[in-house]
Amino acid sequence: MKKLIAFIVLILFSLIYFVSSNDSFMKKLAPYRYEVNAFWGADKYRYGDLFGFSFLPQYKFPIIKKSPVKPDQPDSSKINFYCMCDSYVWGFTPLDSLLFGVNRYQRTRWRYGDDISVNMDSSKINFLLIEISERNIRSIFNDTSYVYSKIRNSNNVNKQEFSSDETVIQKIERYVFNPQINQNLEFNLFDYSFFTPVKELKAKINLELFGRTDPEVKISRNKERLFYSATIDSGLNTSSFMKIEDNEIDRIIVNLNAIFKHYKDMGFKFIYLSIIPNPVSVIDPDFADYNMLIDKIQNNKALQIPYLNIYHQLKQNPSLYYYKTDSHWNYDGFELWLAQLNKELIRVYNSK
Amino acid sequence: MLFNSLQFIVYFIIVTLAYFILPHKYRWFLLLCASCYFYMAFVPIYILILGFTIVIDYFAGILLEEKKGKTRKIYLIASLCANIGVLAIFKYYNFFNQNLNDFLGLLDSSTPLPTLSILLPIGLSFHTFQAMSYTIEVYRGNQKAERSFGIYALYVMFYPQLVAGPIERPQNLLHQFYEKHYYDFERIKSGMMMIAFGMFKKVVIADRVSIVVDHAFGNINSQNSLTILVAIILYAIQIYCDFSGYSEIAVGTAKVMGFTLMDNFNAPYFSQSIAEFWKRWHISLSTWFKDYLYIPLGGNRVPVRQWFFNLFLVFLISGLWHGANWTFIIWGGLHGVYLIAGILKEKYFPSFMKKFASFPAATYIRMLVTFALVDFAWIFFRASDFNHALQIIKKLFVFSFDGVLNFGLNDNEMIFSFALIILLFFKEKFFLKIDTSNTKVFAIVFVAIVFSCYLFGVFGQKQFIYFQF
Repeated sequence: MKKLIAFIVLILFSLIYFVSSNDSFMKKLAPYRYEVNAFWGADKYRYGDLFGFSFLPQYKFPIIKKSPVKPDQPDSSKINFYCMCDSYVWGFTPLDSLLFGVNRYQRTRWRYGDDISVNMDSSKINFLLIEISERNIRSIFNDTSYVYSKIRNSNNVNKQEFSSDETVIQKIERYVFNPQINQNLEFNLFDYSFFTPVKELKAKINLELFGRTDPEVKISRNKERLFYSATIDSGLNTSSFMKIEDNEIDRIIVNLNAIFKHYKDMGFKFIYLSIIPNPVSVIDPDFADYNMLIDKIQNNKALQIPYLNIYHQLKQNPSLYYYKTDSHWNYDGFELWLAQLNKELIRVYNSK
Repeated sequence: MLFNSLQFIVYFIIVTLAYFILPHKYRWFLLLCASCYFYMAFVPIYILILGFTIVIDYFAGILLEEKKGKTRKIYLIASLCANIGVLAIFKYYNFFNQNLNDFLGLLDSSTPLPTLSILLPIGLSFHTFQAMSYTIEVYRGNQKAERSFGIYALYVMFYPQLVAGPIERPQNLLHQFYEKHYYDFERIKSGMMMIAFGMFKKVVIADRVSIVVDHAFGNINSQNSLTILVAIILYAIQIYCDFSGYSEIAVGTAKVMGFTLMDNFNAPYFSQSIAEFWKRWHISLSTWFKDYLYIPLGGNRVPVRQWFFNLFLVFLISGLWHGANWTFIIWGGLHGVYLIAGILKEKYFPSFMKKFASFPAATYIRMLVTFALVDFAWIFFRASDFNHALQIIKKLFVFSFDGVLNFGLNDNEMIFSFALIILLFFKEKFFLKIDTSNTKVFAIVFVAIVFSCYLFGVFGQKQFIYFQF
């Protein structure tokens, strides 16, 4: 009997370990468990990613999902839309149906190995959007070659050059020694709604007794919302409050102009930059000494690349556009941005 | 794979259950595969380095047993050179190259040797020393050469003690791989309790006080003497809870499967002298140096000067064993000086020492002085380089108490941390053992410890300090 129980437990834990090592299975399992409203549902992102880090019960607000308004589409779609983006835009899928006049839609995400090769179709309007959140600017635009690797012309590129092409050994290694296994195991073993009260208890003890929260999270000055620590900690270049010298701004501008020229030469007719501000830059820029990174880039006279200016629109009604417990904007913030993007797409569409 | 990770907990459950389900004759193979996986989870390719030393020492052991006369010595030296050579390349090459370069820089010259961009394989010093103890013991005739390659590989790679000890002797461990270990609930409960308590020491105490230590040492200029003093004291606690916590998890893990590993700690901060401290701290390493270096050098059965030289040399090498940095060498050297000073004190002031011993608080004063000396040496162990250590010492001895006190933890958490430390010392002082014979009591205490680890633990997958060695 003992041996039988041991055998069952062994099979169960082996299965959990096996599943947690398999990223592609986890990618299918996670969205399902985040959506489902049952005891096996996962709470980590149900109330925002910052709640998922901190589990502070006083910041438990459900994420309200809306369907963004779709634009009236023209009779024929003639824009081939390419996009380099991060989680601000990536989370809203499918994006192509929300864009005006788009024939082909391809996107790649910063820091992911999903680089794309583009077959330039000169009969269409080739449109490139470089979307980036404020927290990623200083690291991404420090290296033009990395940006160039994200979208390449399929006529000039050897397929093996693509970073997404893993060798068999790398694939096996990633599966057998999955670097994400601890997060996956935590998700499979402890991320269930019935564990949430225990996690909240720990978070409450840490905050009320020891004055500490999860290191990824900072509480706003008026205690109404959570901010992502990386956007606050002035020692990190992702922060809105890390000092920025003029020579670093100059370097970013030089790199942006080089990127603009590179993709123009590749055949893109329209290239736009879109910087999404850190929530704290919009909601509470006086939290510390704001470095004004967005204004310093957008207002720089040497900047050649056109941009979508969302920062000042968001500033007009700061608390409306960001979740209180998530590091991203909400549907209203996204819609505001989308409307501005579609305005440009309509202009571009009609320009030919 | 870190002991304080979910991956390890699930891995441990799988391996242990499979171990008891499998027939005895296949168990060694399971443990060997599991140990390979455990090691490869850090950096897979470094298994080749481990494989190299295993192959060398396995054949060296057999040849040492078969050959006679001078040839044996040659095989022993060859095997030791191979082991030390691996250490020299992966751990010390860049250090010596850098120092040579600095020296030649004074003569307006530089070394043509390149700097190697290699990562130190995890636990290299530990398993190399364990492998070396095998060949030495075979050479001395205290251990028969192991004929099964798999069992010998398992001796070097046994996962509970692979990356940070205890550094076992072949006489203690090798035969255990042949013994049939039955499912013994009492032993399992005892092992599980050790694991839980080791985890508690690591995640609740060590990782909590490390916030104060990192805060103070990472930003020396904004600290005053008091915050530095508190950080230095807490570093002694951190490194003890971190390393002894690790050792308890290692010993407990092995115990659950029926293996007995040596204890690595015995309440070291209650030592009344530095000599006693080294009998209670990292016992498997200090006895290794005693057996394989200090005694072969002549130990204390040589003229006094030679004796002192031996002591000093052993501690310098022990410092270097910990890391390729001058700070570790100074740390070792300081302990050597402490030991020699302790011997001289007994020799030249016997009547004073006798009188002092009759003083009622003598025991506590001795403990306090020993702790202060050990703690002072820890400054060098913790500092990133020599200048950093000097900065810490300067800050400590300027006796400036200006500025706002900021320990990196609030007052409640500081009080909580010190309460935990007092409880821990109370337990160690009075040798309190958690009774596991009563299953109900075991279940309640075990669950309480695990739950406390979760509620009060500081998580962030902080690596064990001794993993870097």
